[in-house]
Amino acid sequence: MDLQLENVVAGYKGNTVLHGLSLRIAQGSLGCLLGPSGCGKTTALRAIAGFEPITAGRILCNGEVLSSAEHWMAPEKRGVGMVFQDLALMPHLNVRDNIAFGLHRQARATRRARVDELLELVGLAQSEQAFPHELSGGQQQRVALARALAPRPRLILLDEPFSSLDVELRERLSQDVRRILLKERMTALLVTHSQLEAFAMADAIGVMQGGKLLQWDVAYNLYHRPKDRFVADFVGEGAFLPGQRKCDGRVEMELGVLPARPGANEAGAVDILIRPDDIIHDDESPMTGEVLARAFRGAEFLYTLRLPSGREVLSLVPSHHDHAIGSRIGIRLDVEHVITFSD
Amino acid sequence: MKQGSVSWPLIAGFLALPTLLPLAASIASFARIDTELWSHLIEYVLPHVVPQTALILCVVSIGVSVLGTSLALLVSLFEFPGRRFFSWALILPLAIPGYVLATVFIGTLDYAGSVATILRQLGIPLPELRNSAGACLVLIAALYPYVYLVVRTSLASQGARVLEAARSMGLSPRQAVVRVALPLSAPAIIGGSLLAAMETLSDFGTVAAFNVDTLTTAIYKAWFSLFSVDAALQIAGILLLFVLCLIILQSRASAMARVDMSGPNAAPHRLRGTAARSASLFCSLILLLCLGLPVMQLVLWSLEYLSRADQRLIAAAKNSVSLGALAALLLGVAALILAYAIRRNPGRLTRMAMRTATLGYALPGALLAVGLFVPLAAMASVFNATFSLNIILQGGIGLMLLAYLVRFTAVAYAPIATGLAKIKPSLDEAARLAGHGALAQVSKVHLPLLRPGLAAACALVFVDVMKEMPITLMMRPFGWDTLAIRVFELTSEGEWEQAALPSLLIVIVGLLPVWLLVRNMDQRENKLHGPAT
Repeated sequence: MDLQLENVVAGYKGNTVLHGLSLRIAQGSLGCLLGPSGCGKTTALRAIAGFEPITAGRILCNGEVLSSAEHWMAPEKRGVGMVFQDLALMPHLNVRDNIAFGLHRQARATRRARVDELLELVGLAQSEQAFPHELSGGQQQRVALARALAPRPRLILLDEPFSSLDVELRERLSQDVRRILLKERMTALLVTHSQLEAFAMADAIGVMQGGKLLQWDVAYNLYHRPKDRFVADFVGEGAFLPGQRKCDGRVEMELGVLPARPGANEAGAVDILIRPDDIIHDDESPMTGEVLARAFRGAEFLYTLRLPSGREVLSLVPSHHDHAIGSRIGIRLDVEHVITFSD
Repeated sequence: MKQGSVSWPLIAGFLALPTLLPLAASIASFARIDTELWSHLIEYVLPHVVPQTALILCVVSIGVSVLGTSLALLVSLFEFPGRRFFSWALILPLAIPGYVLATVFIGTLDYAGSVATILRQLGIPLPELRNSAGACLVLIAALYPYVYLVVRTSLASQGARVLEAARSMGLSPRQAVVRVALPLSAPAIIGGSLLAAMETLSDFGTVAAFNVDTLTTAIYKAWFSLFSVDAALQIAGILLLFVLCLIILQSRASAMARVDMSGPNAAPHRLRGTAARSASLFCSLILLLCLGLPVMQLVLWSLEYLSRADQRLIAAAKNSVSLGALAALLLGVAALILAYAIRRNPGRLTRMAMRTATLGYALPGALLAVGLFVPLAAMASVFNATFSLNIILQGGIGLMLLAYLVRFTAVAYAPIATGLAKIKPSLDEAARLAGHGALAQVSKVHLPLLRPGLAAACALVFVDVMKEMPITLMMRPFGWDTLAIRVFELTSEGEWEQAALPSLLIVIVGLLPVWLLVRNMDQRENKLHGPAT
């Protein structure tokens, strides 16, 4: 199904949490709202589920109004499944009964078949009699997903679903969840503060701040073509360097003169986004930076470098280039277009 | 979003009404002062009873603080032979009501008592013990577990860690206890001794056995000897002033800042040589005096009279059980409704109603008995006059249950509210998304998960009602006995040995919640610190 939010405003007395949120997720695709805590992403999710009222705008599902300022459809009538942040598994029911929890209106045989199918899909057929507390975090996660999928909802909402798991498990499980959702041809909306989760799962990602959607885009564009300084800062690592934008569209700064992305800003003072992979270590280069800090990341080192001006940039360097703190290394800027922001 | 349109504040308010009734009644009663009766009270009763009540209250509060705190410090912070055993065994005296302990105490140590006789033959005459000093001793022995439990719990979550930090900064174990552990436990000590003080103020059976007059026995005497319910209600009003002081102190104490640093427990400091032996000896002595010897004596006396267990006792036991069960059922339901009201509508009105409804634990049974009887009797007579009926309100099971409802709602509410709070709101939402309505959420999610809390609530109420004396005594139907009433009647006739069998039955039933408590605490500590090795 097709989920659409049109200028949704929501909040509590005197405190607006969502300021006109609009987005659209097409049938069968996975969307994600990414942002720091308090940005309104969970409120958006709960408004779609029907647990929070909205004060303006509309939430539509295949053109049918779920929520508006005047109209509110009860959560249980929306055909929406949800995976809760704390999973909300029923502690007194085993895996099978947890998954069957939303199938109470169906005939026994249908219910049985559907639960079997889901147990197979999430790989828990061996543990159907186990109780939630006997399962690992990852298994609990998959039970919660299966329970939400069981009644074949029109839409699945996932609220920080991996936040209770350790980092390694998160990545593996988010791939699993994506595979399962695609297999069920499910439309889904994920809410998270972790960009790794967002990158691993979603087809399109919306970065939110202060109740507003700043950019709705694919992961590549959020990282390489951020439209907003907050997006640039929140997604990935990097540094901002001051520079001057010329009338010919080129940008002059400490690391050289480079073409800016077309149609970005007007001439004048700008801040230039420099990603760690934009700066290449090159012993031949006349330009140098002093190593201030270094973090070993296996294949690479992430160096924090001080430029002659005193400003700092990050540089990702293959890890066989092992330089001590305090040493000076040759660097070179390697980008086609730079991303600039003016205030 | 809201579900349904039940007015939860109204329902909670309805459950709070019975608590307000005795309060209003005792205040209103001062409008009808019988001057002749009051001149008697002012001359002969109050000047004696009020200071005595205050004195017992102070001595017992100080006594339980000292005894309970020192025992809790010992078993929480130090290692000595038998520490693990003492750590839970010292809670067991909670199962023995003060009036049972008083029975044994007087039966053995009074002039004709077995121990007193032996000592006298050895040339050691005992001082007169049937006075307020004796009552204080027994109340301290019966009530110290309140302080012990609270202080021990607070030390278990933060004690040894902080103590280790203090030691690392160069304090000796003794300095660390005085400068760190004691100040740290201050809120717990005050909280625990206030609970014990409330129990002391409510006590009727113990002081009655010692023939010591306090406000609670004065209420009873005004009602059943002077036959003036108004005077009884007015004395209850004076008692209420004491209660209010304690309630205010308690709300102050609970507002005190509490550091809570739970973490893995550090190893207790190991005592050696004489210190270790004295610690074991001290704990053994307390346990022997408050539990071992009294229970042994009860068993011996009971065996003696077992063959003579009469129909009256069997009937009393049956009455106790059915009364306890009825009350458990009523309070289980009432507390469940109250806890639900808070979950569904946690607004100011509902919370106020809940606080009022659970305030009854501070109101002495004697006060509740007269405070509920008088206004309800008045209502009945107005009702009769209006509809020219002839309903005579006298003691009855319904009235008793109403009084228990006021007195024990807090007891039933605590475990149910704790259980309900553990059920995350997301479970309700998940159930709702799965298409289950409000009622199905209760039956499919809440009730199965609440079973342990409900069972604990019912068990606690059952036992408390079995032990309860003043409400039962003053409100029961004429000639209707329970075990506690048998104990009261036999002790007031001086038949200490015969009182042993009903007393022992009460103690055995009373062990049930204490056992639950000990088991719970073990589980919690195992969870915190890993299983015992």
